[in-house]
Amino acid sequence: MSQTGRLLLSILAGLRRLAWLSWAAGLAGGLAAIFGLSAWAARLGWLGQPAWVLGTWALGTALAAGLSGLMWRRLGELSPPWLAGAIGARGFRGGTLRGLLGPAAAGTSLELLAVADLQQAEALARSESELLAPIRAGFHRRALRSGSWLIGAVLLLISARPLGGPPARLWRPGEAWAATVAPVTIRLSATTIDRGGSVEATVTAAGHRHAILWVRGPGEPWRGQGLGLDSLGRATTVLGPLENDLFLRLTSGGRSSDTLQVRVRMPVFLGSLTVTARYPRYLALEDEPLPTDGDTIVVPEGTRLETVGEATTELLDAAWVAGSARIELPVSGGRFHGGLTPAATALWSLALSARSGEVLAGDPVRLPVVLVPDSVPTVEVPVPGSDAIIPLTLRVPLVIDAADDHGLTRVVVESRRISRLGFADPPVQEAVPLPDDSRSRVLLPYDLDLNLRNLLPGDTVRFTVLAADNAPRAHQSRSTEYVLRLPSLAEVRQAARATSAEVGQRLDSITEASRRLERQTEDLSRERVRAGQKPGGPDQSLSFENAKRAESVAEAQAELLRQAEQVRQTLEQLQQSADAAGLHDPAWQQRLQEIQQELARALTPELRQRLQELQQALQELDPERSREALERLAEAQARLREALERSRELFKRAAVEGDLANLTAEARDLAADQKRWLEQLAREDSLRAAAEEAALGERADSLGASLDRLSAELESPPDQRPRKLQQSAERARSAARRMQRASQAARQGKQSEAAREGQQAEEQLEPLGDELKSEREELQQSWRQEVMRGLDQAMGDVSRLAERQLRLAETLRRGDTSPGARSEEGAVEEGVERLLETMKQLAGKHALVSQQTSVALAAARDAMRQAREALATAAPNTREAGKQAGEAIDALNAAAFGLLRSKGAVEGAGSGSGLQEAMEQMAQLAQQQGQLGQQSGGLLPQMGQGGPSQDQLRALGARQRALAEQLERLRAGGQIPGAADMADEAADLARRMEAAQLDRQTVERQERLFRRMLDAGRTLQGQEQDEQQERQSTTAAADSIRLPPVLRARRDAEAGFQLPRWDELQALTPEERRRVLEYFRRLGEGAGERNSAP
Amino acid sequence: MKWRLVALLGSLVPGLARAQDPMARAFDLERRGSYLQAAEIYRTVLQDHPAEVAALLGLERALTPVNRNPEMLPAVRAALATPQPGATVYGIAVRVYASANLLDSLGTLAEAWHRAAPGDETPYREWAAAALQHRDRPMARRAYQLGRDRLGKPEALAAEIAQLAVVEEDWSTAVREWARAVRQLPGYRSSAVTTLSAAPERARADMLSALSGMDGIDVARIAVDLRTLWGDPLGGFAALMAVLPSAVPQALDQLQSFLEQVRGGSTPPYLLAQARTLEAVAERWANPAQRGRFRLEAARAFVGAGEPGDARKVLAALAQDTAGNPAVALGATATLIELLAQEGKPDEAARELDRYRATLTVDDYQRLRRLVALRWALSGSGDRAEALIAADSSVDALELKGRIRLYAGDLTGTGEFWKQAGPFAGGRAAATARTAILAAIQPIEADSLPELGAAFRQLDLGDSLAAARGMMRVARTLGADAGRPELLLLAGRLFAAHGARDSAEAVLRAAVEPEAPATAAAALLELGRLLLGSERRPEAIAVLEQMILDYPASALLPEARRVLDQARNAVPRT
Repeated sequence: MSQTGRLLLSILAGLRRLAWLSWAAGLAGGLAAIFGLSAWAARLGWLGQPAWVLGTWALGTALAAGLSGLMWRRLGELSPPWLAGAIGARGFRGGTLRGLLGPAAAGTSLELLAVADLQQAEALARSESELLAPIRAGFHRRALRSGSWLIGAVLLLISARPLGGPPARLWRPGEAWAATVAPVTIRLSATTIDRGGSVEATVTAAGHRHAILWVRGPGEPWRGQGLGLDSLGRATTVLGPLENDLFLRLTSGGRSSDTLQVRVRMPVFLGSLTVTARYPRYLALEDEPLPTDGDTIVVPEGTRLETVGEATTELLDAAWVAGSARIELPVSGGRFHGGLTPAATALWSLALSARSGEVLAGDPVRLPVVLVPDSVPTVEVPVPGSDAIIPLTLRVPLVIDAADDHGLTRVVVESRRISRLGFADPPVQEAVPLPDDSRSRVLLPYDLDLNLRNLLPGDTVRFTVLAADNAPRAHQSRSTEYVLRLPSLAEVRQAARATSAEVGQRLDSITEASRRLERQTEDLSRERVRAGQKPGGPDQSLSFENAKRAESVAEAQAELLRQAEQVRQTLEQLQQSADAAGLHDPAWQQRLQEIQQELARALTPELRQRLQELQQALQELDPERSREALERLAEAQARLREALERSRELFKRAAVEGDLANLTAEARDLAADQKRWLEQLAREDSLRAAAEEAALGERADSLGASLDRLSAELESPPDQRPRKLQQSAERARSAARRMQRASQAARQGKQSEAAREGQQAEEQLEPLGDELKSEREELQQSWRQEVMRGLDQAMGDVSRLAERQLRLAETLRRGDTSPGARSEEGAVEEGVERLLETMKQLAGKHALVSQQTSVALAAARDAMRQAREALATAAPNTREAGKQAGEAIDALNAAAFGLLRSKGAVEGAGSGSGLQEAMEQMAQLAQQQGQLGQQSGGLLPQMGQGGPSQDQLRALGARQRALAEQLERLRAGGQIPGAADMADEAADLARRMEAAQLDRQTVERQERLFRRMLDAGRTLQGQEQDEQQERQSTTAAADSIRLPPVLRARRDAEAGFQLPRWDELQALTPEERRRVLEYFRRLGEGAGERNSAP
Repeated sequence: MKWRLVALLGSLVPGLARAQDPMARAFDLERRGSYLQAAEIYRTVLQDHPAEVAALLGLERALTPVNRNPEMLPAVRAALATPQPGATVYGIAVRVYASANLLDSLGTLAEAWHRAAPGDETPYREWAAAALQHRDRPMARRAYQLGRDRLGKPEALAAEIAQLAVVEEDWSTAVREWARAVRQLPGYRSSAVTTLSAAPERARADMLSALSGMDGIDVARIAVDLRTLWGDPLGGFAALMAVLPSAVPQALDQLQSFLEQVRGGSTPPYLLAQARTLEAVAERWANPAQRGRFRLEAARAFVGAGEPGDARKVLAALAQDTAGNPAVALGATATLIELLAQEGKPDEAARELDRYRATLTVDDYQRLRRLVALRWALSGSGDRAEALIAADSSVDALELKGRIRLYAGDLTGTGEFWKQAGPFAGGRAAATARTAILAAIQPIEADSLPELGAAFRQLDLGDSLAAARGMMRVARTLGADAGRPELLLLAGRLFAAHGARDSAEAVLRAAVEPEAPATAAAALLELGRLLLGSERRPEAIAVLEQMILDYPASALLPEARRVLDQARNAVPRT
């Protein structure tokens, strides 16, 4: 090594130290910076995974390695040649230093070389500081920079507080490594649990803050559940209660745990149980599943409980247990089934034993069974409900109320007659037909017909009703026994009087109701007109309030119709009862029938139709139609009210007449009974005779009271008759007092005194019947006279009004349209209106006062009104006014003749309406017209061939004229509408034929007339038949169907065709009704004939 | 397919056009009753065209049903503000102003209208009508008078003034104005007669006198018609003949017209007037056949009127016309037989009837036979009469049989036959008379009362005084509840008709018996009329008040009230 080389080496040593320091400080600073940055990132939470520790370390290591290598190389470069070169670069010796550092070239003197070397070394040594200063300064600067770098990096690291918190992990790379490579795990507290239990899962995902726990049941998709992990990457969660197995797995940071399973152990229990009640067959009940939740089960006796069940484990045995009773149920595996028929009410428990010996979970199954035995039927007879009087028809209406818990098979009415003397007939059983549908409880109407029992007044009939149920061994029960007594004639009469009073009251009541309702309807219809808008106006809706009010009117009307119908039926009953009471007065019966007819006329289908129209309009909320319907209903109501008023007035008198007839019969009977008592007094037991006489006395007293009441009712007419009635009443009471005395005497054994008193009573009673009869006849005569006087007076008024109208009509015909004429017409019209009122009153006093008069008067009034209206226009129509005024005269004259006929009818000289006669006559005339037409037609072909003789045609004309006259007379009768036209036509035809003018046209006219006459006859016939039907149809009562016995038997046996009821027929027109009934009648006749055929 | 499309479009186009036309839409709405909506549309139209007459009329139509006409005022004013509004606009304006109660403005409006249409009466007529609508008669009168002055025509608005005068009962003005109106327009005659006929009796003579002083056939016809209406057909005929034109066609026209008028009456004066008119008509016919028919009719009318002499004269004249006209000859024969019977020669009539039986029609024969029978019955030969019509079963024959029985006093038989004859036999007058007799005899309990029958026979023979006396005699024998009041009432009426007022009063007072309330009420009413006719008003009022108070349910009560009002001079002019 040369001197220079050594010198350079020594210089280099200093530089090398500086360079090493620089590199070392730089490396340390770099590491500190990396760690410092990581520590800050960890502290700031930017780095969550433990990998950052490893990364930091890896980076640091790489940096250290890299820098160390670089430092090594750079330090290695710091060699003498480098230094020689650097010095040389600064101009030292022109770069000769480098040559001294290597081996000398061949041929070079070593000494020289050494000298040169020395020189060089010395030169270098001398200028060392000068030459090396810049080089050293460079090294020094680098060393300073590295030192600064190091200080900064260390400060960065220190500022991140690397020893605490997350940065602290930096110093535990081993742990970081371990965390990075550690697996994600789940640890379960148990892997098998009971159903409903829970399991604790501890999850570990080291180094992670979050993990997802995935769970699923069998067959279900996975469900994730996020878990927050602690600093150690652990968390614990509780899963459950679990009903089924559960699968779990954990995922975190891309790693996943194994899938674990938690098994749920199923308990041993009863899986299913069905108990089905199979009811006894006779109950005809469907099988029914029963609840097994412990509710009490009520089952009829004989019910079998079918049990089917299954446990979750294999069973050893199964049974129903109730106390000591045990019903085994066959077992198959876990299933069991079997039947149980409880014999008594008990609490049954289901006992199950598992083959495994496990105890079955769950509540024990209990079946509280209440056994209901089949009860005995109950039977009552609410109508009559007590002992009763046998009605006059000897048909006792019964209503049987029979019930059984499961069903009735038979209801029988058992009755027996017990005579007054105590003899009893054997019981008679009559089966009551049961309805097909419901038989658990039935209300059976039944008519106990006692007509064939040979009952005598005073006899009794005892009856009871038996009911049997449908149990295999039928139970039978019996109702209370009732006693029916056949009333005496006296009682019958009393009942008739009571019925009469009731009818009177009901007529009063419904007439008043009808009046109120009519007013209400009118108000409503007018109110709607006033309050309503014009048609087409904006407000067309039917207000709720108005609709409700109209509905209430409709309901009230329907109720009124029902009541009127009831009254009509009661009237019929009254008629029957009077008949049964021996009041066979045809005139009086006729009067009652007239009232019934009046009521029947009042209850027209038209009224029902109007009611239906209203109801329909209300349903459709149509205000216009509702108003119209209300108006029409009000008109129909007015007719109903008038008819009801007339019926009421008629009935007032009829009731008095009936009562008088009734009391007359009673007085006669009483006298006869008293006479009989006197005859038997000597032979009879005195106490019994006293009792009988006391009873007769009571009857006499009652007779007196009834006569007093009747007298009070008749007090209004100022005549003498009530006084006579009072005398009769006093006579009856006096007889009653004597009879009481006679009774007392008989009771005390004073026979002669009893006979004397009885005799005097009998003498007082004897003439009473005749007196009352005479009273009644006088009363009837007086009433008749009153009505006839009224008719005469009305006729006078009609004639005077007709005269006035005639004058007025002539004035009008002359063209007088002055206000005076109008006002006079108004006055006459008002007079007619008053006459109508008078006629209404008269019609209420006698049934035979024809309604035709009122109709004619109403027609006159209408014609007068039209005449007035024709005059009241801006351009008076005198022709129309005159025509109407003339028609009013005709109507007035017709009314007068109607009055004349009515008077005849009231007097007893007429035959009522005469409609029947008119009808027959019209039919005959139609026949004659037909013949005439045929004969004329026969002569027609001869007209062109010499023709028939004048005499022949005249003879035909004479017959035609006679027919015209007959028609004219029919017209005079006023019953045939259109008779006037037909008469005119017939007369015109007669004129043509008398003038030998027979042609086709004439024959055709005859044909047409014939048809018109036929039609007129048919129309009349239809009306008449319809009226008869109305009277006959007592609605729906089975006993109203009069069938021949054979047919009745067949009907009863086969329950085949029956005549349609009134409510079925009422929707039809009269003609349709007639045809339907005719059809059924023929059917019945046909059936009867077939039935009677051998 | 194409043509269907075209048809569809064709059907839609008018609808669309209609939907676009506001007037048509408004009319549709109006027709459907949506008046207010229609009015709105009309108003919209009028905003653009204030003088659109159709819209104005539509608006008026739409507002009238809802009673909101005054709301038209702005529209009307706008229309009037347009140049030359037109008569229709003025008419609407008058109505609207009147409905808005702006009567004071009507005069100005009418004047403006008059300026727009000089010579037209309508402005004043409308103005007066509006005033009358508000019952402002003085304004109406002023309007008419102003109109007449402005128009310068004395006959202008005569009919209107006449009607106003009638309302105000100014009969002389009414007659004068109607005469003017009829002269101007003869068609007014019927209206004139109708309104003037309402005049009270006291004013009639003056009216007729005033009319007679006026010229013109049409004015004279008013007098003729009024006379006829007031019950003096013969006076009417005389007045007609006095003014009858000489020209035959016009004369026949007037006569025919009068004939129609008098045909309405069936009493003898009317029948006589008919007969004379027919005679006058016949005289003016040149055609013998036609003349014969009129003469035959005249002869029958004379017979019906009870003028056999005149009837014979006509029949004699008729003989000249019958040649070649068998129908007229037959009619003349029948009339002659009828005349014989009426002259009280039933035997002769029966013979003639028998002779001509074959030639007469069955109707005529039967009618004449019944007439002969009636005359026999009236002459006391009831049996012959019954025998003559025994085979006749017509209702007229039944009626006659009943009457024959009535003359015989067989009340029961009468009732029976008349009941069978019915209310229509013999015509209305006869039926009404029959009804009256039936009403009178019904309360009588006796089956037969010959004296009463004789009284009825005398009545039919025309001796009503004797009949009334006979009835009174019979009535005395009857009870109060057995027909007495009814016969007394009948007798009282006969006395009254005959002019025997004292007897009538006494008998009518006697007929007032409580047992027969309806008859008593009728008697009081008759008595009231009688007293009123005698100008004994206070007594009449007392009687009528008694009737009203005592018999409030009587059918004659309305008539009594009316007569009472007349008695109090307070007849309502309804």
